[in-house]
This record gives sequence, C-alpha cells and structure tokens, in this order.
Amino acid sequence: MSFYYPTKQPSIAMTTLVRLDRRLPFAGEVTVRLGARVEPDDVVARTLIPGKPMEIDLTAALGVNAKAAAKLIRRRPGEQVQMGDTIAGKRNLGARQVRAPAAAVFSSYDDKAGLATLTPMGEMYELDAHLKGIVMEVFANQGVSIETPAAIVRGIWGMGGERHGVLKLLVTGNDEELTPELIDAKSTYAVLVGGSFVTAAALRNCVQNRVRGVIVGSMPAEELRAFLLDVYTPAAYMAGASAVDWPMGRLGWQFPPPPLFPSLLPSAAPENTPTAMLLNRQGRSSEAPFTLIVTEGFGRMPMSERAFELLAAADGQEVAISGTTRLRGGLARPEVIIPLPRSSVQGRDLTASQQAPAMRVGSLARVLSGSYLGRIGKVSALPPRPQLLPSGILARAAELTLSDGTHTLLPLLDVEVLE
Amino acid sequence: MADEQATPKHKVESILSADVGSLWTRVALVDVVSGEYRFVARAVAPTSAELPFGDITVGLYNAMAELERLSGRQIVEEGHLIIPQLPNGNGVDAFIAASSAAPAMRLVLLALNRDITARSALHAAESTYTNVLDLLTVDEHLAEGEKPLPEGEWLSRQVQRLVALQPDVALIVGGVDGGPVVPLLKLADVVAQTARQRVVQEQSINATPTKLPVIFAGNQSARGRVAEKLDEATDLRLTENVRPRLDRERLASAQEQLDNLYLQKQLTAVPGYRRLASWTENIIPTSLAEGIVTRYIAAQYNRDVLIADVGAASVGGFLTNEAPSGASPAAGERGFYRVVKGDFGMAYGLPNLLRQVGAAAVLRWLPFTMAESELVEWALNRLLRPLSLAAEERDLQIEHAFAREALRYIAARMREQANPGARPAYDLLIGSGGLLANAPNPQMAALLLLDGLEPEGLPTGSVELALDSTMLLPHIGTMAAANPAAAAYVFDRDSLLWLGTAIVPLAAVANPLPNQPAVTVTVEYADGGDPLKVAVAYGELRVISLRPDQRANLIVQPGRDFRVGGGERGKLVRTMGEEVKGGYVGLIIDARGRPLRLPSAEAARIATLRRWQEAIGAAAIAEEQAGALPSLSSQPDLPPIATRMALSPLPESEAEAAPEPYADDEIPMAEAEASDMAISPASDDEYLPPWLMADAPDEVAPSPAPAPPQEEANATMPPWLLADQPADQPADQPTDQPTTRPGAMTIPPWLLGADEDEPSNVR
Repeated sequence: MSFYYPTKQPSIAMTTLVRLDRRLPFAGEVTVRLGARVEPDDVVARTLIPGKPMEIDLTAALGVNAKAAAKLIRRRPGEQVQMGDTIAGKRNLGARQVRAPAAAVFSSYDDKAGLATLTPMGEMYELDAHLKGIVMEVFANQGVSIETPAAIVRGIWGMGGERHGVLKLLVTGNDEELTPELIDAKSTYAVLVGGSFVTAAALRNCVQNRVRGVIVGSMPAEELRAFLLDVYTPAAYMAGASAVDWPMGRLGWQFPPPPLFPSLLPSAAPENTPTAMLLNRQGRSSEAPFTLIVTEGFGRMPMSERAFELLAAADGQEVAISGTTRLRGGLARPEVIIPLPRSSVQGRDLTASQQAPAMRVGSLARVLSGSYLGRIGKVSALPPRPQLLPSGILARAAELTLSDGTHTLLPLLDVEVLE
Repeated sequence: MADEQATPKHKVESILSADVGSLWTRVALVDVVSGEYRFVARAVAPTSAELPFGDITVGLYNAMAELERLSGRQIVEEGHLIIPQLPNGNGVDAFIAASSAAPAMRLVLLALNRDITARSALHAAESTYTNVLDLLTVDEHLAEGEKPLPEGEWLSRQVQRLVALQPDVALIVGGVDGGPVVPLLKLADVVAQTARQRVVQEQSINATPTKLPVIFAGNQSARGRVAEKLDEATDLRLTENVRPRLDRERLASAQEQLDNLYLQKQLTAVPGYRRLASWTENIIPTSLAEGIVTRYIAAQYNRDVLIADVGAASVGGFLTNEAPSGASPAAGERGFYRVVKGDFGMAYGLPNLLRQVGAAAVLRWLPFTMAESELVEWALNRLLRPLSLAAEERDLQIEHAFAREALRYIAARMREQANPGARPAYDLLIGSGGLLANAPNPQMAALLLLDGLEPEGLPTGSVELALDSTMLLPHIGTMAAANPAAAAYVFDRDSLLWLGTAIVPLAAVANPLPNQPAVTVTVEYADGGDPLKVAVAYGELRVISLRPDQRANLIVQPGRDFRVGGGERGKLVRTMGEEVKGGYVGLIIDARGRPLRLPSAEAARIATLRRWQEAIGAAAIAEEQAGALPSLSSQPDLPPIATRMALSPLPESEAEAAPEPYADDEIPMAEAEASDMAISPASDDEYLPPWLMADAPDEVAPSPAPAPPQEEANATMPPWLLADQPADQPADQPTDQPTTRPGAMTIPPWLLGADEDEPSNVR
C-alpha cells in the first residue's frame, strides 16, 4: 500500500485492479479453490490459535520450594491435560494437589521460580474473504489472493480493522459535518460517508446504532480524544496515560492510537499478525466497535472533492474498508475498496491505473499540507529550478491553480497527483 | 567489493559515503582534487525502508543516480557499486555508511532506586536511539507511599508489567562497586522471568523464540550471581558499572553495548539492510558517527565543542570539553557527553516531543497566537505526512518552535550529565540536521541555536556558531573511522558554514534592572577602518557586521552588574593575540540574559520574539536575500577553524588604560555585504529526481556528462539554499601521478587517545 512516500500508487482511483492477499497468522487450512468466486463473508482459510499461556505457582500451591516441587510434577512438557487433571502433587491420599484450570498443554516448568506454564487449547480462527472477487492464487496452508476490478480511496489515517458493508451517503457536500442527528437506526450495519468532520457525539451514535464504518474528511483531535476517553475504562486510561494527554499507553503520544478498547498495551500492534492475535486472545483488545477512515487529516477540513465524488457515486454499493494505519515498520494506510462488476470494465487495461500518473503541467493534484490541505487544483507550472517558497525555503515546487482560481506555490513533496 | 577495499595495496582516493536516515538517504562523494581530499558532490532521496519498496537500497540507488547525474561519474553498474575506481574515472575506491533508519530501541530500565543509579542509567540510555518505556525500581513503593508487597506478588506484578511493555532491551543498573548484591538479584529475577515468559509466548504462536537482550551495568561484585540468573534465559551483556562510585559516572561501556545492540538488532531488521551490509563492512549508527566527529574536532583543534543535531526521527547533542577540576572524568581529561532522543524529532518524533514538553512550551516560541488544539493537530498532521516541507511562513515558525524545545530538552539533559549545577562549557557550537541546514537564512539558524541551547560562552566569554549546511558531518564521522585523512581534509575545507561569534554577557546579580547597559563592545577591524563601539542593554540582542572574511579585535566592557564568560563582575576583557572571526550573521551580542525569559502577556511575548528576530535579521527572509545567500564555495579560503577567540581579562594596568565605555549605543553598523553568489544552474531544465517521478522519465538516464570546470561550478545554486544540490561540482579528476596526500595513517590517534603528533595533512 502506498503512503506518503511519493509512491507509484494513486490515493484515489476510479477504476483499477485490486489484488488483496489474505493470509492466516499461523499455518492452517485453505477452504476455497483457485478460480472460486467469493463473497465478503465467505471463509477462505482457518486455523487454530493457541491460547494465552497460564502460569501456576507450584511452590505456593504445594508449600514446598522450587526444587522440591519439580519432583512432584506428574506431567511431561508437551503433554495434554484436561480441565481438573492433576499437574503436580504427592500421590498419597489427602496430599496437596495442583489441577489444571482448563484443557491445556503442559508447556514447561521453571525450577528457579517454581512456575509451571500451561498453554490452553486453541480457538478456531476463520479468515473471511473481506472482498467480493475471484481467488486468483492459493498460498498452501497460508491463504489466498483475491482480485476484483474496483474503485479505491485511500485515507490518511484510520482506526479499526477490516469491515464490509453498504455505503450510505449522509451529507450533500464534501464540506458538510457528519452531525449526530444524521445517524439513526437506518444507519445500522452501514458504512457512512460524511463530508468534512465528525464529533465524539456523532461517533457515540455510531456505536449505539452498530454502524460498521465511518468515512470522513477530517477529525478534530480533541473530539477524537473525547471519544477515546469515553470508550476507555478509567482504570485503563489511568494506567496508560497521564490525565491531560491522549490515552496512548506508555509509549507516549503516538500514532496510530490503540484499538478502541481498554488496553494497557502499546498501540500500533498490527492486525492479523501473531502479536495482534495474541492481544485479542488475551481479551485486552477486542474488535473495535467500528472502523473510522479519515481522508485528509486532523482538524476541521472538508473531504477532498475527488474522494467525496467517488464515494457519493458509490452510494448503496457494498464496499470493503480497513482502518489499519501504521507509519513505520510496515507502512499501512486505511482504504475503501468499491468492487466493480467485471462487465463494467470489460476490455479495459486496468494495470495502467495501478500506477499514479506522473506530474506534469495540467495534472490534477491534491494539496497535502498547509492551509490548502485537501484542496484540489491543476498544476499550472512546474518550474525546473528550485523556487523560493513563502516560508523562505528554497525547494522544487509546483504552481497550482485551485478550483476557486487561487494560485499557490507548493513544494513537490506536498502535492499528490490524481490524474 | 569490501575485500578489495581492505587490501592494503589498494589506495583509497575516492570515497562514497551514505547516511541512511529514517526519512532521507544522503550520499556524498569525496575524491582527491589537486592533491587534497575534497568534497565533490552530494545527493539526497527519501529513504525507502517502508512499503511499497521495503528495501533501503532503493532509496540509496535513487540518491546515487542523482549523484551520478551531478558528478558526471558512473558509480553503479548493473546494480553493483563499481569498486575500486576505474582508470576512466568511473566508480569509487571505497564505500562507507552510517544509518539511523531503524526505529528507536524500546528500552526498560531496572534500577535499585530512583535517584542516583537510575539517573546514570537514563544518561546511558539516552545516548543512542532508544525509547525509554519505563523505569522499574526496587524502592518504588517508597515513592508512592505504599507498603511493600510480599516478595512473590511484587515479582509477578513486575514481570506482568515488563511483559506488557514488550521491550527490545532491558538495562539493569544499581549499586556502587562493592555494595550490596541481594537487591540486584531481585531485579535479575524479574528480567529472567520476563524473558522466559516471552519465550513461552513466542513459542505459543509458533514464532522462533528470541532471547531478550539484557545489559547489566551495575555493581561489579554482583556480576557472577546476576549472570547465573540471566545467562541461560537472556542474551546477557556485562559492562562496567555506570556508577562505580557515588561521585563518578562511567557511561562509555554501557553506551557501547547499546550502540552494538542498535546495530545488531535494530538496524539489521531494517528491510534491505543486509544488502547494504554486503556492500561495506563499515556501517555505524549515525549517532556514533556524530560522536566521532565531535571528538575529532575537539582533539584536532583543541576546542570545546557542542554539536546539536535536529533530525526527523531523533534529536541529539554531542559535547566534549575539558572537565572542570574535581569532576568526573578527572580534571584535565576531556569529557565526552552525548544525548540522543530517539523518540523526538521533527517528523516521527513530534507527538512524543509535544507530550514531553507540553503544548505551552512550544507555543511560547511562536510570534503569533495559536490555540493549543491547533498545534496538536498541526503536529499530528505532520506526523501523517512526515516528508512535508514548510511551504508557508507560519509552518516554518511552528517547526522552529518545536526545534527550539527539542534543543532545550537536549541542553537540559546535557547540563545534568556534563556539569551538574552549572551550564556546560563550550566555545564552538555547530548546528546540524535538515531543519537547521534548510533554514531560509543563517540568521534564523543562529537565533534557533541561541534560543534552544542558550550558550553562555563559558569559559572564554564567546562562542562561535557554525552550521553543518552541507550535512556532511555524519559522513565525516563515518569517514574518520575508515579514512581519517579524508575526514580531516573535508572537514577543514568543505564542511562548516560560519555564522559568527556570540558574546554573552551574564548577569552577576540576581535581578538586574532591565534596559541597563549590559555590555559595551569595541570592535577594531583587522583590515583597518574605524573601530565601532556598541553598547547593548540588558534584554537586547544586537548584531555587529563582521563578514566571514573579516577579523576583529574586541574590547568587551561588561556593565556594573554583569560579567563575560568566566570573568569577574564588571571586569573588562579583550581578545588576546587572536582575532575574532566573522560569519554570515556577524558578531552577535546576546544580552538577553540566562535563562531566557519571555513575557507572559501575549502581546508582549509576541513583540519580544519579533524584536529578537528583527535584531538578528531573521525576520527579513526571502526576496532581498535570496540571491545572496552564502555557500561554502563563497567562503574565504582561510583555515576555517584554527582561529579561536579567547577573551581574557586585561592585566590590571591595561584595564585602567582601557577607554571608558561610550555613553550612547548609537554607533552606525555597516551593512552586511551581499555575497557575490549567483543563482544560475545552466543545465537540467525539466529535471525531476527519479524518486519523484511516477514513470521514469527519459532524461533521467544517468549518462556520465563531462564535469564542469571549477569556476563554473562555483557559480551554481548556493548549496546552502539547496539541500539537494552539491556544493561543488567536481573539479579535476585525480591524476595518475602520486599525490602528496598523506594517506599513511590508518587509525586516527584521537580515537585511540594516544599521544601522537597531529596528522600532518591538517593545517
């Protein structure tokens, strides 16, 4: 996926070919065949996820020291035990015994600390297709690759994982706020499209109405903070952050924010990776109530006209969204994929649209920083030499004519070509 | 390739140096020109560690392609570096690299108590790219006023805490040498259990278990028993005690292990690193390279120097000075201190910085009013698009406000480490990093350094300000380890842009009255001309014209309640023997007092900031200066660093004879003369760097073009303005005849600390 690095992928594409790899966190079984047509809810692969290891202090339970307890262990490492099975203890009647609290595998015993480790039996994890399309490749025991022609909008940040649902347009313009009153029972299970920004109150309404996704142009930082504070339990909040800051865990105030749930753990745990699975299993971070995708950034800015037009045109269609955002260590950017019927793109070469066009005079481009952030304009000049910017910095720049006729000079790095 | 480079017969003339940062990859080419190592060209491209590339060598190739275009020399052929240099001039003899592309190490500190050893541990941890997650101490409950927990419960609680933090490394410290051992074993137990749990967790998800790296830098008599507990479960590294005695701090050994860990664990995990490592054996963390350069300058020129680096993902300060008597290290020895905040920085590190210092601290540096929420959003948006450049003045001011606070944090940490209770002494201050190097004018960079670091000009009374405008310092540090002669030449000739000298009168009484005369400075220009006499009031900042090619003698008369440097209150001081050097800003008299104070009232605060900016000339950005900004090539060809200003108190008799300070301060200041630089890059119209192009444009083909002659090259765009362009186009290619270049030295003596003669190649 592209991020801010001037990559070769467009952030907004009307028709392109999307190919999505779906992989299990651990080896498992693939349940679909090559060439199969899949719907978003179809299970494409599954595997057993091991449980969270439990530690049992044998010295305390048996009343002996760690060395002595080692001699009383009745299980070998790797042996399966059922709930209530004896793990350790003397064989005589009435002697203290330690029993397994759940069905598990006896993993190990630490004879320095006197701790026995049990790993509970796994849970079945099913991976869905997420996207309507055709299975173009099968990775044995790992997953599949699904392909579909689609329109795509990539956001700048988001929260929450993969969802799919019907796109529902709630505003009439890209500069219109997604207010709480707009969200009601009719929004249930939908992916909502707003214009400019959204408030904490509106997001609370989304939780109440079981909304699956929210796509907006921007979000004021204090509204997001208010919403997260609302979702966090006070204890988690206190443990994770000081009172005035964003509840970002011990790692400090960083991005992306943690899952929308009580968590003492550092954020930025990628989804669908072993670590994330582990966190989920530990009950410390469960699924976010909905997925939020922001296209422009923090603040109160309208959604980029292009993105809004595309989303508005897809009102009522089934879309696949993902809010996963990572800035470093495996860049990920949130995205909205709108699958298109194959017939609608018949005979067209979609591979070209997988690459962002080069910047040239006349290109349609989006502004990525400063007071014009999110605005769209035409590149009116591309001076070959570095230009003196209003800030006094000299850099390669492009001159843009915005839709309202304003001329502005922007560094090349702050401009994104759309077409 | 690396083998060839290592053979002793192979003479190294041309060196390609790469600095792979978290956002930008910079390459620099050094070659022998007219018998001397000179900097030839440099280029920059975004680092490509992240998707869709996921390989740092992509960004490196991009930068090298740009370098090929600029230098007219082919460096890469079919994806391979051409090493050694070919007779036709293509290729290079050696390739060296420094990198800070990996995210900071997530580190937990374990110490006996919060006060002494924990502080030393923090000093050690904040010397390279680390993110200190938490501090765990045995005496924690005392601070919180709680009763101690039963042993077992305490242990399991701490283990839980550490497991949840997912550290990359644990640093255990505690006790002076020969102190009690048992409490340290408690800490070792916590780490041992954490490491075991980590292994179990990793096994449960079928991952290959890894041993947690642990550095033990505590009481040396506990080594054996700690090792017993940790050897099996962890990747244990034993180092010297960071606090062997209560009055002594010894960080070097622990710092070295942290550097090693960053190199071995973090950098190797960066996508593409292994490929880079296969090109050269000489890769070091960038912070290490900057440390080497600092010590090099100190040793070579006998200067007390501070290098401050404001980067995208980290901020650092590197100081070396002569230790005051009685301090550790022993008096007379050189102390070396480095502070690196791996989680601060102007892009990825902004939110951490904001969290650390608070929004109010940043906002006070803005010469306009901004709401706190707006600042927060600005920082978050910058984080989302880390490569953004400040297009508008407002953005630049915000960036600089953040940089000021980052520097202030570094300065505070440095103070704590280097000279508790006093300000660190240094007489040369070098600003480094993209933000400073790209500042619109030298005045702005100078003000940023003065505001951020508040130098006091100790002990001599003045401090020289310089800018690493070509961003060569990390390269020079890397080079110094591999080829000291090259490093020496390049540093001497091509590296620094001199901003000027700052005189800092200090208040000698608690609350001096504002607007009373703080200092009167008489400037006697070495090239003749009328002497200038300028009186500066307390609270003011003044600049006196002193161009880079000018020298002057100074007579500095502090006001009644003021002193200069280590001098006495009200005592006149003057330059002795050596003249003060000029710079692109001039002679700066910073009588604003220390610490700097900003009025709390909004309007007054803004007025004060504006006044300072105007005083130093930073406010006058852009147009009138654009064509006249300095470049290295326009610097007069003088031995750049050898002059050292030493303001010394006058002998009693002379002091009496010295003229009385003028009553008024209205003495005309000469206009700063415009440098004769012209902007006229002749070629490359329509050229876009390859990494900016979606489709590879035809004209990018790196066909070696003939190198322009030196004179023409000097007339190109000032590199100071243009981070992406070279300062000098290549001059004559080295001839086949042996040069007089002394290349015999292999290990720099200043690295060994040996008493060898100065390298003869450095004047």
